[in-house]
Amino acid sequence: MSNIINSIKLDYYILKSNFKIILIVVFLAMFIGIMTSNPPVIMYVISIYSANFMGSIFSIYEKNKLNKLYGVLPLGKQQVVIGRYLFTLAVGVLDGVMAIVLTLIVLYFRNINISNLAFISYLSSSILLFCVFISVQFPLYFKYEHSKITVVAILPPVVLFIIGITLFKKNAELFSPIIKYFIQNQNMIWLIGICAGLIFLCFSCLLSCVIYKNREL
Amino acid sequence: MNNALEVNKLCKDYGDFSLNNISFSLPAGYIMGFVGQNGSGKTTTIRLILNMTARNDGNIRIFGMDNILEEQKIKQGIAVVLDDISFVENWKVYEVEKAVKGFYNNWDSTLFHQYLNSFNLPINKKVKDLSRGMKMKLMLAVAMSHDAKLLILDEPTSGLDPIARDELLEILSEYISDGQRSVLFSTHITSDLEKIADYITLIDNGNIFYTGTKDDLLESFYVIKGGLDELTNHLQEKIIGVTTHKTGFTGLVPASEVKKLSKSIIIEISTIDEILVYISKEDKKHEQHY
Repeated sequence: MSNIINSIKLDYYILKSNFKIILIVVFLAMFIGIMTSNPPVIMYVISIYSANFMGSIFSIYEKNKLNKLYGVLPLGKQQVVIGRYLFTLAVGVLDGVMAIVLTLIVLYFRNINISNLAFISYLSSSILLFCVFISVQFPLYFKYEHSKITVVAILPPVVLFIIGITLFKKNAELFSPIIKYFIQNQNMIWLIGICAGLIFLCFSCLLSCVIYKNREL
Repeated sequence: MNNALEVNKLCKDYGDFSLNNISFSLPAGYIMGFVGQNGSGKTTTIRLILNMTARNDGNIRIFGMDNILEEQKIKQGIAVVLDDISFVENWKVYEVEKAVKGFYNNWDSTLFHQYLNSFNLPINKKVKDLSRGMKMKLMLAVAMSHDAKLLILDEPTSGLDPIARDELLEILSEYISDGQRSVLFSTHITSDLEKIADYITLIDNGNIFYTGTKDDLLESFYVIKGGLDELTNHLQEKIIGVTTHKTGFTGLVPASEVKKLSKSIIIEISTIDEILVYISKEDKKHEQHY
Protein backbone atom coordinates (compact mmCIF):
# COMPACT_ATOMS: atom_id res chain seq x y z
CA MET A 1 0.00 0.00 0.00
CA SER A 2 2.81 2.41 0.87
CA ASN A 3 4.28 1.92 -2.58
CA ILE A 4 0.93 2.81 -4.18
CA ILE A 5 0.92 6.02 -2.13
CA ASN A 6 4.52 6.69 -3.19
CA SER A 7 3.51 6.05 -6.79
CA ILE A 8 0.66 8.58 -6.43
CA LYS A 9 3.14 11.10 -5.00
CA LEU A 10 5.51 10.47 -7.89
CA ASP A 11 2.67 11.04 -10.37
CA TYR A 12 1.86 14.28 -8.56
CA TYR A 13 5.45 15.49 -8.90
CA ILE A 14 5.53 14.46 -12.55
CA LEU A 15 2.41 16.54 -13.28
CA LYS A 16 3.16 19.33 -10.83
CA SER A 17 4.59 21.80 -13.30
CA ASN A 18 1.53 21.36 -15.54
CA PHE A 19 -1.05 22.19 -12.88
CA LYS A 20 -0.87 25.90 -13.71
CA ILE A 21 -2.52 25.04 -17.04
CA ILE A 22 -5.71 24.45 -15.03
CA LEU A 23 -6.01 28.24 -14.73
CA ILE A 24 -6.38 28.42 -18.51
CA VAL A 25 -9.20 25.89 -18.30
CA VAL A 26 -10.93 27.91 -15.61
CA PHE A 27 -10.87 30.97 -17.87
CA LEU A 28 -11.89 28.92 -20.91
CA ALA A 29 -14.74 27.28 -19.02
CA MET A 30 -15.89 30.64 -17.65
CA PHE A 31 -15.77 32.13 -21.14
CA ILE A 32 -17.82 29.29 -22.60
CA GLY A 33 -20.22 29.49 -19.67
CA ILE A 34 -20.74 33.20 -20.29
CA MET A 35 -21.14 32.87 -24.06
CA THR A 36 -23.40 29.85 -24.18
CA SER A 37 -27.10 29.75 -23.46
CA ASN A 38 -26.52 26.59 -21.50
CA PRO A 39 -23.85 27.27 -18.79
CA PRO A 40 -23.80 23.71 -17.34
CA VAL A 41 -21.80 22.64 -20.41
CA ILE A 42 -18.89 24.02 -18.33
CA MET A 43 -18.97 20.64 -16.61
CA TYR A 44 -18.46 18.82 -19.92
CA VAL A 45 -15.62 21.15 -20.89
CA ILE A 46 -13.84 20.56 -17.60
CA SER A 47 -14.37 16.80 -17.59
CA ILE A 48 -13.03 16.37 -21.14
CA TYR A 49 -10.12 18.70 -20.43
CA SER A 50 -9.34 16.91 -17.14
CA ALA A 51 -9.25 13.54 -18.87
CA ASN A 52 -6.80 14.84 -21.46
CA PHE A 53 -4.79 16.61 -18.78
CA MET A 54 -4.33 13.32 -16.94
CA GLY A 55 -3.18 11.76 -20.18
CA SER A 56 -0.35 14.28 -20.28
CA ILE A 57 1.37 12.34 -17.50
CA PHE A 58 2.19 9.71 -20.14
CA SER A 59 3.52 12.43 -22.42
CA ILE A 60 5.86 13.74 -19.70
CA TYR A 61 6.87 10.15 -18.94
CA GLU A 62 7.84 9.61 -22.55
CA LYS A 63 9.49 13.00 -23.09
CA ASN A 64 11.68 12.63 -19.99
CA LYS A 65 12.39 8.92 -20.56
CA LEU A 66 11.00 8.09 -17.14
CA ASN A 67 10.95 4.41 -18.06
CA LYS A 68 14.52 4.46 -16.72
CA LEU A 69 13.41 5.90 -13.38
CA TYR A 70 10.53 3.42 -13.08
CA GLY A 71 12.89 0.58 -14.00
CA VAL A 72 15.25 1.48 -11.18
CA LEU A 73 12.79 2.20 -8.36
CA PRO A 74 11.61 -0.59 -6.04
CA LEU A 75 8.11 -0.32 -7.42
CA GLY A 76 5.92 -3.01 -8.96
CA LYS A 77 4.21 -2.43 -12.29
CA GLN A 78 0.81 -3.16 -10.78
CA GLN A 79 1.44 -0.52 -8.13
CA VAL A 80 2.28 2.00 -10.86
CA VAL A 81 -1.02 1.33 -12.63
CA ILE A 82 -3.20 1.34 -9.50
CA GLY A 83 -1.46 4.48 -8.25
CA ARG A 84 -2.09 6.26 -11.53
CA TYR A 85 -5.80 5.40 -11.58
CA LEU A 86 -6.22 6.50 -7.96
CA PHE A 87 -4.35 9.74 -8.62
CA THR A 88 -6.51 10.33 -11.69
CA LEU A 89 -9.65 9.70 -9.67
CA ALA A 90 -8.51 12.17 -7.02
CA VAL A 91 -7.77 14.84 -9.63
CA GLY A 92 -11.12 14.02 -11.29
CA VAL A 93 -12.97 14.62 -8.00
CA LEU A 94 -11.19 17.97 -7.49
CA ASP A 95 -11.96 18.99 -11.07
CA GLY A 96 -15.58 17.94 -10.52
CA VAL A 97 -15.82 20.21 -7.49
CA MET A 98 -14.24 23.00 -9.53
CA ALA A 99 -16.77 22.39 -12.32
CA ILE A 100 -19.70 22.59 -9.88
CA VAL A 101 -18.43 25.82 -8.33
CA LEU A 102 -17.75 27.47 -11.71
CA THR A 103 -21.16 26.45 -13.05
CA LEU A 104 -22.94 27.79 -9.97
CA ILE A 105 -21.00 31.08 -10.22
CA VAL A 106 -21.90 31.54 -13.88
CA LEU A 107 -25.55 30.60 -13.26
CA TYR A 108 -25.71 33.07 -10.38
CA PHE A 109 -24.19 36.00 -12.25
CA ARG A 110 -26.22 35.34 -15.40
CA ASN A 111 -29.31 34.90 -13.28
CA ILE A 112 -30.21 31.60 -14.95
CA ASN A 113 -32.26 29.02 -13.15
CA ILE A 114 -32.04 25.35 -14.01
CA SER A 115 -33.80 22.50 -12.33
CA ASN A 116 -32.01 20.21 -9.89
CA LEU A 117 -32.69 17.33 -12.23
CA ALA A 118 -30.97 19.09 -15.13
CA PHE A 119 -28.00 20.10 -12.97
CA ILE A 120 -27.57 16.60 -11.61
CA SER A 121 -27.92 15.14 -15.10
CA TYR A 122 -25.19 17.37 -16.45
CA LEU A 123 -22.90 16.61 -13.52
CA SER A 124 -23.56 12.90 -13.60
CA SER A 125 -23.00 12.65 -17.35
CA SER A 126 -19.83 14.73 -17.13
CA ILE A 127 -18.48 12.35 -14.46
CA LEU A 128 -19.36 9.44 -16.73
CA LEU A 129 -17.71 11.20 -19.67
CA PHE A 130 -14.51 11.71 -17.67
CA CYS A 131 -14.45 8.07 -16.59
CA VAL A 132 -15.13 6.80 -20.13
CA PHE A 133 -12.31 8.94 -21.53
CA ILE A 134 -9.86 7.70 -18.90
CA SER A 135 -11.05 4.10 -19.15
CA VAL A 136 -10.50 3.98 -22.89
CA GLN A 137 -7.34 6.10 -23.11
CA PHE A 138 -5.23 4.80 -20.22
CA PRO A 139 -4.90 1.17 -21.42
CA LEU A 140 -3.82 2.57 -24.81
CA TYR A 141 -1.25 4.83 -23.14
CA PHE A 142 0.04 1.95 -21.03
CA LYS A 143 0.36 -0.16 -24.16
CA TYR A 144 1.81 2.32 -26.66
CA GLU A 145 4.02 5.38 -26.57
CA HIS A 146 1.95 8.50 -25.95
CA SER A 147 3.27 10.35 -29.00
CA LYS A 148 2.17 7.53 -31.30
CA ILE A 149 -1.30 7.09 -29.91
CA THR A 150 -2.34 10.53 -28.69
CA VAL A 151 -4.69 11.36 -31.61
CA VAL A 152 -6.05 7.83 -31.90
CA ALA A 153 -6.69 7.71 -28.14
CA ILE A 154 -9.12 10.63 -28.34
CA LEU A 155 -11.27 8.93 -30.96
CA PRO A 156 -12.69 5.86 -29.15
CA PRO A 157 -14.37 7.75 -26.27
CA VAL A 158 -15.71 10.40 -28.67
CA VAL A 159 -17.06 7.73 -31.03
CA LEU A 160 -18.56 5.81 -28.11
CA PHE A 161 -20.24 8.94 -26.84
CA ILE A 162 -21.64 9.87 -30.26
CA ILE A 163 -22.95 6.34 -30.78
CA GLY A 164 -24.54 6.45 -27.32
CA ILE A 165 -26.26 9.79 -27.96
CA THR A 166 -27.45 8.67 -31.43
CA LEU A 167 -28.84 5.41 -30.08
CA PHE A 168 -30.56 7.30 -27.31
CA LYS A 169 -32.19 9.78 -29.71
CA LYS A 170 -33.29 7.13 -32.21
CA ASN A 171 -34.75 4.91 -29.54
CA ALA A 172 -36.24 7.55 -27.29
CA GLU A 173 -39.36 5.47 -26.72
CA LEU A 174 -37.28 2.58 -25.55
CA PHE A 175 -35.55 4.80 -23.03
CA SER A 176 -38.66 6.70 -21.88
CA PRO A 177 -39.46 4.32 -18.95
CA ILE A 178 -35.86 4.73 -17.82
CA ILE A 179 -36.14 8.52 -18.04
CA LYS A 180 -39.39 8.42 -16.08
CA TYR A 181 -37.69 6.30 -13.45
CA PHE A 182 -34.86 8.81 -13.10
CA ILE A 183 -37.29 11.75 -12.88
CA GLN A 184 -38.98 9.98 -10.00
CA ASN A 185 -35.67 8.89 -8.44
CA GLN A 186 -33.30 11.77 -9.04
CA ASN A 187 -30.68 10.42 -6.65
CA MET A 188 -30.27 7.47 -8.98
CA ILE A 189 -28.80 9.81 -11.62
CA TRP A 190 -25.90 10.43 -9.27
CA LEU A 191 -25.51 6.76 -8.68
CA ILE A 192 -25.60 5.79 -12.33
CA GLY A 193 -22.95 8.37 -13.24
CA ILE A 194 -20.63 7.53 -10.39
CA CYS A 195 -21.20 3.76 -10.31
CA ALA A 196 -20.99 3.25 -14.07
CA GLY A 197 -17.92 5.50 -14.16
CA LEU A 198 -16.21 3.58 -11.36
CA ILE A 199 -17.06 0.23 -12.96
CA PHE A 200 -15.51 1.42 -16.24
CA LEU A 201 -12.42 2.60 -14.35
CA CYS A 202 -12.08 -0.70 -12.48
CA PHE A 203 -12.19 -2.77 -15.68
CA SER A 204 -9.84 -0.34 -17.36
CA CYS A 205 -7.41 -0.55 -14.42
CA LEU A 206 -7.42 -4.36 -14.58
CA LEU A 207 -6.77 -4.23 -18.32
CA SER A 208 -3.95 -1.71 -17.84
CA CYS A 209 -2.35 -3.93 -15.18
CA VAL A 210 -2.25 -6.84 -17.63
CA ILE A 211 -0.95 -4.64 -20.45
CA TYR A 212 1.72 -2.85 -18.41
CA LYS A 213 2.92 -6.09 -16.82
CA ASN A 214 4.05 -7.27 -20.23
CA ARG A 215 5.49 -3.95 -21.38
CA GLU A 216 9.25 -3.58 -21.41
CA LEU A 217 10.55 -0.48 -19.68
CA MET B 1 33.23 -15.71 -1.41
CA ASN B 2 29.78 -14.05 -1.42
CA ASN B 3 28.63 -12.76 -4.75
CA ALA B 4 26.71 -9.51 -4.95
CA LEU B 5 25.64 -10.40 -8.49
CA GLU B 6 25.50 -13.67 -10.38
CA VAL B 7 24.45 -13.86 -14.02
CA ASN B 8 24.02 -17.39 -15.37
CA LYS B 9 23.58 -18.38 -19.01
CA LEU B 10 21.53 -15.29 -19.73
CA CYS B 11 19.97 -15.17 -23.19
CA LYS B 12 17.95 -12.48 -24.89
CA ASP B 13 16.96 -12.50 -28.53
CA TYR B 14 15.92 -9.32 -30.33
CA GLY B 15 15.99 -10.86 -33.79
CA ASP B 16 18.74 -8.65 -35.17
CA PHE B 17 20.78 -8.91 -31.97
CA SER B 18 21.07 -11.49 -29.26
CA LEU B 19 22.80 -12.06 -25.95
CA ASN B 20 24.14 -15.58 -25.84
CA ASN B 21 24.73 -17.45 -22.59
CA ILE B 22 26.04 -14.47 -20.68
CA SER B 23 27.58 -15.64 -17.40
CA PHE B 24 29.63 -13.72 -14.87
CA SER B 25 29.69 -13.01 -11.16
CA LEU B 26 30.70 -10.01 -9.10
CA PRO B 27 32.04 -10.79 -5.62
CA ALA B 28 30.82 -8.52 -2.83
CA GLY B 29 33.11 -5.62 -2.06
CA TYR B 30 34.69 -5.28 -5.50
CA ILE B 31 34.42 -3.17 -8.62
CA MET B 32 33.77 -4.95 -11.90
CA GLY B 33 34.29 -3.20 -15.20
CA PHE B 34 31.74 -4.28 -17.79
CA VAL B 35 33.43 -3.52 -21.06
CA GLY B 36 32.44 -3.70 -24.68
CA GLN B 37 32.09 -1.53 -27.70
CA ASN B 38 28.83 0.31 -28.39
CA GLY B 39 26.08 -2.17 -29.24
CA SER B 40 27.89 -5.14 -27.71
CA GLY B 41 25.09 -5.86 -25.21
CA LYS B 42 26.14 -4.02 -22.05
CA THR B 43 22.97 -1.99 -21.64
CA THR B 44 20.76 -4.95 -22.56
CA THR B 45 22.47 -7.02 -19.86
CA ILE B 46 21.92 -4.24 -17.31
CA ARG B 47 18.28 -3.89 -18.35
CA LEU B 48 17.89 -7.64 -17.80
CA ILE B 49 19.56 -7.39 -14.40
CA LEU B 50 17.06 -4.68 -13.45
CA ASN B 51 14.17 -6.71 -14.93
CA MET B 52 13.34 -3.84 -17.27
CA THR B 53 13.13 -6.31 -20.11
CA ALA B 54 12.18 -9.99 -20.22
CA ARG B 55 14.89 -12.60 -20.69
CA ASN B 56 14.59 -15.64 -22.93
CA ASP B 57 16.68 -17.91 -20.76
CA GLY B 58 19.09 -18.02 -17.85
CA ASN B 59 18.86 -16.57 -14.39
CA ILE B 60 20.16 -13.65 -12.37
CA ARG B 61 20.74 -13.64 -8.64
CA ILE B 62 21.43 -10.47 -6.69
CA PHE B 63 22.45 -10.78 -3.02
CA GLY B 64 21.51 -14.47 -3.49
CA MET B 65 17.93 -13.65 -4.53
CA ASP B 66 16.22 -14.10 -7.88
CA ASN B 67 16.02 -10.73 -9.63
CA ILE B 68 12.42 -11.27 -10.77
CA LEU B 69 10.86 -13.06 -7.80
CA GLU B 70 12.39 -10.68 -5.25
CA GLU B 71 12.58 -7.62 -7.49
CA GLN B 72 11.38 -4.97 -5.06
CA LYS B 73 13.42 -6.30 -2.15
CA ILE B 74 16.52 -6.39 -4.33
CA LYS B 75 15.96 -2.90 -5.70
CA GLN B 76 15.98 -1.52 -2.16
CA GLY B 77 19.64 -2.50 -2.11
CA ILE B 78 20.59 -1.45 -5.62
CA ALA B 79 21.60 1.99 -6.83
CA VAL B 80 21.69 2.73 -10.52
CA VAL B 81 23.27 5.53 -12.51
CA LEU B 82 22.37 5.49 -16.16
CA ASP B 83 23.96 7.18 -19.14
CA ASP B 84 21.39 9.96 -19.15
CA ILE B 85 19.31 11.74 -16.54
CA SER B 86 16.20 9.84 -15.53
CA PHE B 87 14.30 12.62 -13.78
CA VAL B 88 11.70 15.09 -15.03
CA GLU B 89 13.63 17.99 -16.54
CA ASN B 90 11.38 20.56 -14.90
CA TRP B 91 12.09 19.24 -11.42
CA LYS B 92 14.33 21.28 -9.22
CA VAL B 93 17.14 19.41 -7.51
CA TYR B 94 15.32 19.36 -4.15
CA GLU B 95 12.16 18.01 -5.83
CA VAL B 96 14.08 14.99 -7.07
CA GLU B 97 14.54 13.92 -3.46
CA LYS B 98 10.86 14.53 -2.67
CA ALA B 99 9.80 12.37 -5.60
CA VAL B 100 12.01 9.35 -4.93
CA LYS B 101 12.85 9.21 -1.23
CA GLY B 102 9.56 7.55 -0.22
CA PHE B 103 10.45 4.45 -2.19
CA TYR B 104 13.56 3.64 -0.15
CA ASN B 105 13.38 2.32 3.42
CA ASN B 106 16.93 3.47 4.15
CA TRP B 107 16.79 6.89 2.50
CA ASP B 108 19.10 9.29 4.31
CA SER B 109 18.18 12.94 3.66
CA THR B 110 21.19 14.25 5.59
CA LEU B 111 23.52 12.17 3.46
CA PHE B 112 21.74 13.30 0.27
CA HIS B 113 22.23 16.96 1.20
CA GLN B 114 25.85 16.26 2.14
CA TYR B 115 26.39 14.88 -1.36
CA LEU B 116 24.63 17.90 -2.90
CA ASN B 117 26.97 20.18 -0.96
CA SER B 118 30.11 18.27 -1.75
CA PHE B 119 29.14 18.07 -5.44
CA ASN B 120 28.22 21.80 -5.47
CA LEU B 121 24.72 21.05 -6.74
CA PRO B 122 22.36 24.03 -6.26
CA ILE B 123 19.10 22.70 -4.80
CA ASN B 124 16.92 25.29 -6.53
CA LYS B 125 18.27 24.72 -9.99
CA LYS B 126 16.14 22.83 -12.49
CA VAL B 127 17.43 19.50 -13.73
CA LYS B 128 17.35 20.73 -17.34
CA ASP B 129 19.68 23.60 -16.45
CA LEU B 130 22.37 21.33 -15.01
CA SER B 131 25.47 20.50 -17.03
CA ARG B 132 26.13 16.92 -18.13
CA GLY B 133 28.59 16.46 -15.28
CA MET B 134 26.20 17.92 -12.71
CA LYS B 135 23.37 15.69 -13.92
CA MET B 136 25.62 12.69 -13.43
CA LYS B 137 26.51 13.89 -9.93
CA LEU B 138 22.81 14.35 -9.10
CA MET B 139 22.11 10.77 -10.17
CA LEU B 140 25.05 9.63 -8.05
CA ALA B 141 23.79 11.60 -5.05
CA VAL B 142 20.39 9.90 -5.35
CA ALA B 143 22.00 6.51 -5.95
CA MET B 144 24.27 6.73 -2.93
CA SER B 145 21.75 8.07 -0.40
CA HIS B 146 19.84 4.90 0.39
CA ASP B 147 22.61 2.60 1.62
CA ALA B 148 22.70 0.47 -1.53
CA LYS B 149 25.04 -2.50 -1.50
CA LEU B 150 25.31 -2.77 -5.26
CA LEU B 151 25.91 0.21 -7.49
CA ILE B 152 25.26 -0.30 -11.19
CA LEU B 153 26.65 2.31 -13.54
CA ASP B 154 25.75 2.26 -17.22
CA GLU B 155 28.14 4.41 -19.24
CA PRO B 156 28.15 7.18 -16.63
CA THR B 157 31.32 8.76 -18.03
CA SER B 158 30.27 9.02 -21.67
CA GLY B 159 30.14 12.68 -22.62
CA LEU B 160 32.01 13.78 -19.51
CA ASP B 161 35.24 15.73 -19.67
CA PRO B 162 38.38 14.14 -18.13
CA ILE B 163 38.10 16.20 -14.93
CA ALA B 164 34.50 15.14 -14.30
CA ARG B 165 35.45 11.53 -15.08
CA ASP B 166 38.29 11.67 -12.59
CA GLU B 167 35.94 13.12 -9.96
CA LEU B 168 33.53 10.25 -10.55
CA LEU B 169 36.28 7.69 -10.06
CA GLU B 170 37.28 9.35 -6.78
CA ILE B 171 33.66 9.29 -5.59
CA LEU B 172 33.40 5.59 -6.47
CA SER B 173 36.65 4.71 -4.72
CA GLU B 174 35.39 6.41 -1.57
CA TYR B 175 31.97 4.77 -1.89
CA ILE B 176 33.34 1.23 -1.82
CA SER B 177 35.98 1.95 0.82
CA ASP B 178 34.02 0.13 3.57
CA GLY B 179 34.44 -3.14 1.68
CA GLN B 180 30.70 -3.93 1.86
CA ARG B 181 29.64 -2.41 -1.42
CA SER B 182 30.09 -3.62 -4.96
CA VAL B 183 30.08 -1.78 -8.26
CA LEU B 184 29.24 -2.95 -11.76
CA PHE B 185 30.67 -0.25 -14.01
CA SER B 186 29.67 -0.51 -17.66
CA THR B 187 31.77 1.60 -19.99
CA HIS B 188 33.60 1.69 -23.26
CA ILE B 189 36.13 4.18 -21.85
CA THR B 190 38.52 1.58 -20.52
CA SER B 191 41.10 3.97 -19.10
CA ASP B 192 38.63 4.60 -16.26
CA LEU B 193 38.66 0.93 -15.38
CA GLU B 194 42.43 0.52 -15.45
CA LYS B 195 42.44 2.80 -12.40
CA ILE B 196 39.75 1.29 -10.22
CA ALA B 197 38.40 -2.08 -11.43
CA ASP B 198 39.24 -5.35 -9.67
CA TYR B 199 37.36 -7.54 -12.14
CA ILE B 200 36.65 -7.18 -15.82
CA THR B 201 33.91 -8.71 -17.91
CA LEU B 202 34.43 -8.18 -21.59
CA ILE B 203 31.44 -8.55 -23.87
CA ASP B 204 31.56 -8.55 -27.64
CA ASN B 205 28.61 -8.82 -29.97
CA GLY B 206 26.42 -10.45 -27.34
CA ASN B 207 29.02 -12.97 -26.20
CA ILE B 208 31.26 -12.94 -23.16
CA PHE B 209 34.87 -12.81 -24.31
CA TYR B 210 36.44 -12.73 -20.86
CA THR B 211 35.39 -12.51 -17.25
CA GLY B 212 37.79 -12.57 -14.33
CA THR B 213 40.25 -10.38 -12.52
CA LYS B 214 41.69 -7.38 -14.31
CA ASP B 215 45.23 -8.57 -13.64
CA ASP B 216 44.51 -11.98 -15.17
CA LEU B 217 43.04 -10.32 -18.24
CA LEU B 218 46.09 -8.15 -18.76
CA GLU B 219 48.36 -11.18 -18.28
CA SER B 220 46.28 -13.36 -20.58
CA PHE B 221 46.75 -11.44 -23.80
CA TYR B 222 49.67 -9.82 -25.52
CA VAL B 223 49.90 -7.51 -28.48
CA ILE B 224 52.32 -8.84 -31.09
CA LYS B 225 53.92 -7.13 -34.06
CA GLY B 226 55.97 -8.72 -36.79
CA GLY B 227 56.80 -9.05 -40.47
CA LEU B 228 54.37 -10.60 -42.91
CA ASP B 229 56.60 -13.64 -43.35
CA GLU B 230 56.19 -14.41 -39.67
CA LEU B 231 52.40 -14.58 -39.91
CA THR B 232 52.21 -18.37 -40.27
CA ASN B 233 49.00 -20.32 -40.80
CA HIS B 234 49.16 -21.55 -37.21
CA LEU B 235 49.54 -17.99 -35.95
CA GLN B 236 46.70 -16.75 -38.15
CA GLU B 237 44.43 -19.28 -36.46
CA LYS B 238 45.36 -18.09 -33.00
CA ILE B 239 45.76 -14.38 -33.52
CA ILE B 240 42.82 -12.12 -32.66
CA GLY B 241 41.96 -9.04 -34.70
CA VAL B 242 44.99 -9.24 -36.97
CA THR B 243 45.76 -6.15 -39.01
CA THR B 244 48.18 -6.44 -41.92
CA HIS B 245 49.93 -3.64 -43.71
CA LYS B 246 52.72 -3.42 -46.28
CA THR B 247 55.54 -4.08 -43.83
CA GLY B 248 53.97 -6.40 -41.31
CA PHE B 249 51.09 -7.22 -38.98
CA THR B 250 49.77 -6.56 -35.50
CA GLY B 251 47.30 -8.54 -33.45
CA LEU B 252 46.42 -9.98 -30.09
CA VAL B 253 47.38 -13.48 -28.93
CA PRO B 254 46.54 -15.49 -25.82
CA ALA B 255 49.44 -15.77 -23.37
CA SER B 256 49.64 -19.52 -24.03
CA GLU B 257 50.78 -18.79 -27.58
CA VAL B 258 53.54 -16.36 -26.70
CA LYS B 259 56.19 -19.03 -26.03
CA LYS B 260 55.62 -20.53 -29.46
CA LEU B 261 56.29 -17.27 -31.28
CA SER B 262 59.37 -16.48 -33.31
CA LYS B 263 61.90 -14.43 -31.37
CA SER B 264 61.81 -11.67 -33.95
CA ILE B 265 58.14 -10.95 -33.20
CA ILE B 266 57.71 -7.99 -30.86
CA ILE B 267 55.59 -8.84 -27.81
CA GLU B 268 53.99 -6.05 -25.79
CA ILE B 269 51.81 -6.03 -22.68
CA SER B 270 48.25 -5.22 -23.68
CA THR B 271 45.85 -2.68 -22.24
CA ILE B 272 42.11 -3.24 -21.84
CA ASP B 273 41.59 -0.73 -24.61
CA GLU B 274 43.81 -2.69 -26.99
CA ILE B 275 42.12 -5.96 -26.12
CA LEU B 276 38.76 -4.34 -26.80
CA VAL B 277 39.94 -2.95 -30.13
CA TYR B 278 41.41 -6.23 -31.33
CA ILE B 279 38.44 -8.37 -30.37
CA SER B 280 36.11 -5.92 -32.06
CA LYS B 281 38.13 -6.37 -35.26
CA GLU B 282 37.73 -10.11 -35.10
CA ASP B 283 34.96 -11.35 -37.35
CA LYS B 284 34.84 -14.93 -36.25
CA LYS B 285 32.99 -15.98 -33.15
CA HIS B 286 35.37 -15.84 -30.23
CA GLU B 287 36.22 -18.62 -27.94
CA GLN B 288 35.49 -17.78 -24.34
CA HIS B 289 38.68 -16.97 -22.46
CA TYR B 290 37.86 -17.73 -18.88
